Formats: sequence, structure tokens, C-alpha cells
Amino acid sequence: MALPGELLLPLSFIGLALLIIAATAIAAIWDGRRNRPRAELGLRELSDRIAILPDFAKGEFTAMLDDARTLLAQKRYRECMKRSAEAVKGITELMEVVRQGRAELRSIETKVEELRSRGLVIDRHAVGLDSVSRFWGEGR
Amino acid sequence: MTSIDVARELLLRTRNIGACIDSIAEPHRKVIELRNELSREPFGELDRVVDDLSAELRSIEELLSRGMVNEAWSSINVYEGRVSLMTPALRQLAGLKRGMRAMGVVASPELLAIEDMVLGSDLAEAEEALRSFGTAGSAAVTKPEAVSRSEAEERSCAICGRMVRADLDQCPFCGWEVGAPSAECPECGSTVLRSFRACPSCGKGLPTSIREGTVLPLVID
Repeated sequence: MALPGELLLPLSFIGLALLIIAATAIAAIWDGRRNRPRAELGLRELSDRIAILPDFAKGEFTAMLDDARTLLAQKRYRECMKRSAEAVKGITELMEVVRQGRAELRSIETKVEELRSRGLVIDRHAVGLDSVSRFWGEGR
Repeated sequence: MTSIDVARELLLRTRNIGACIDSIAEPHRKVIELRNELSREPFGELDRVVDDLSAELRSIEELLSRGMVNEAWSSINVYEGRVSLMTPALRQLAGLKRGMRAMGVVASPELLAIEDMVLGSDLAEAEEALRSFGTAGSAAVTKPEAVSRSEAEERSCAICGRMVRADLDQCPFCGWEVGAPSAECPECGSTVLRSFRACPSCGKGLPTSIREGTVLPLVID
């Protein structure tokens, strides 16, 4: 049965629209199946890394974690992964500085102990050692 | 300001603290060295000076414990300058104290006053006082009446000639025992004990006549 000529154009538009809707739905389903686990994994990693951060840095990265969780809830998995990856990169960079700071602090503590063994007790508050120890999260 | 900026600034601050702690070690070694000097001459005789200087060293350590290294170095320089100025007077004072103690005088108010002058940085006045005390002291050795003790309580040592308390059985300067038989060296005329084989002043052997009574006679059958 041949379609009348005047119906061919509207029907092809409707078909195209249905095709687009179907493709979008399929893409959404495929995105959910493929990227949701990745986004969730990224969030878990971010959460684990935040736990070992010194206190002064926790606030900033916890805010980034909350943003990423919101994106996950909105099913914006790619954005969520991107946000998590940014935060993890920032944390990696920060942890390198923290590692150096903690190594420096341990070396200072050794020297302070040496001085103590020779009879000089360092006033930790006056030299600022107490406050930096607290910041690096390795106070005595 | 992000966390990484805070961390970088904190790292810089930590390194500065490390450098400060490093720089404390050297002045602290110096303070230990200076404290050890206080147990050596001429400080051994001068308890008050030692107390005063120890307190000064403690205050330098206090500066070091608070990381005030430059201030501590300045104080060390001032301390060393003060001690080097005081040392000649302190040596003289320590010598006088030793002499007084040997003569049986435990504490002399004059010497304590001089010690106070030295501590109070009145060095010119202290040196003047030491000179006048030294003159009076040497006069006291040759003229026992100038000393607070009476002539009857002191006598001259037969061996070294210094004035010693009459109630002492042994001279505190040379160890000569009172009542030990003595004689005059025929060579130099100095007093020797009869038990000596040679004169300690000129080194000549003493004749048997001097050593009579202290040498067992050789018995020949």
C-alpha cells in the first residue's frame, strides 16, 4: 500500500524524531550502565583520599566530593567523574607537599630530641613547632 | 587561597623552623663550652661569680630555647667580653682566697666586697681594692700584727717561712710537721729537716753530722 505523497514528509519527520528519542534513551541507558560504576568508584577513591588528608585541607576537598555526589544523583556521570578526577589530582599534588612537610617535621623533631639530650629544651610553642605539627597532622 | 597554597606556605614555614633549630646547635655548643670553663680556674674559688655567670648562661639558653638565635649570639659576645675583662681580677681574687684559706681564714668580708665589685663591673675599683688588699696581705705575712689574728696565734714555718696558725701540726703550704728535727744547710744556710739526705734549696748532700740521730749507725763486728 503506497502512502500518499503529502504524508511522506510528516511521517519521515515523526520517524526521525522517534529515532532520535530512541537513540537518546539508548545512550542514557548505555551511559548509566557503563559510567555509573566508574563514577561511584571515583567517589569512593576520593572519599578514601580525603580521609588521610591533614585537617586544613579536608574542607576544600569535602566540598568537591559533595559536588560530585550531587552530579551522580543527577545522573551526570561524566561530569561527576571529571569532578572526582580533578579533586584526586589536587589531592595527589597536595599530598606530595604534605609528604615533604611531614619529612621536614620528623627531621626537626630528631634535632629537637638531640638538643634535649644535650640539656636544651626547645620551647615548641615559641618556635612555632606546635602549630606546624598540628597542621601536618603529626603533632606529638 | 586553596589548600595547596596553604600547604606550600606551611612547608616554607616548616623549613624556616628547621633552619632555626639547626642554627641553635652551634650557640648551644658554645654555651656548654662556656659553662665547662666555669668549673676550671680561676672560677673554682669564686662561688658567687660562678652563680652569677651561670645565671647569665641560663638566660642565654632561655633565648635559644625560644629560637632567638641572634639575640643569643649577642648575649654570648657580651658574656665573653665581660668574662675576659673580669678574668685578671678574678685570677688575683682566686689567688688571694686560696692564700687566705690556707692561712685558716674561711671568709674575708674584704674579698667578698671585691668579688661584688667585679660582679658589678666596677673593675677599676676592684683592681684598686685588690692592690691595697694585696699590700696589706703581704704585710700581714711579714708582720703578723697586721692580721686580725694575734701574733701569739701564728708562727713562721721553719721550712717555707710563711705565717701559719700556731695550732696547726703541719704547715699548709709545704707540709712540714711541727717538731720534726731541723738544721741549717752548711752550703746555703736554708732550714732543712734532719731526715733529709740533700738540701732541697741548693741540692748539696747533707753531712752525716746534720743527719745524726736520724740515720741508723752501721754496726761492724
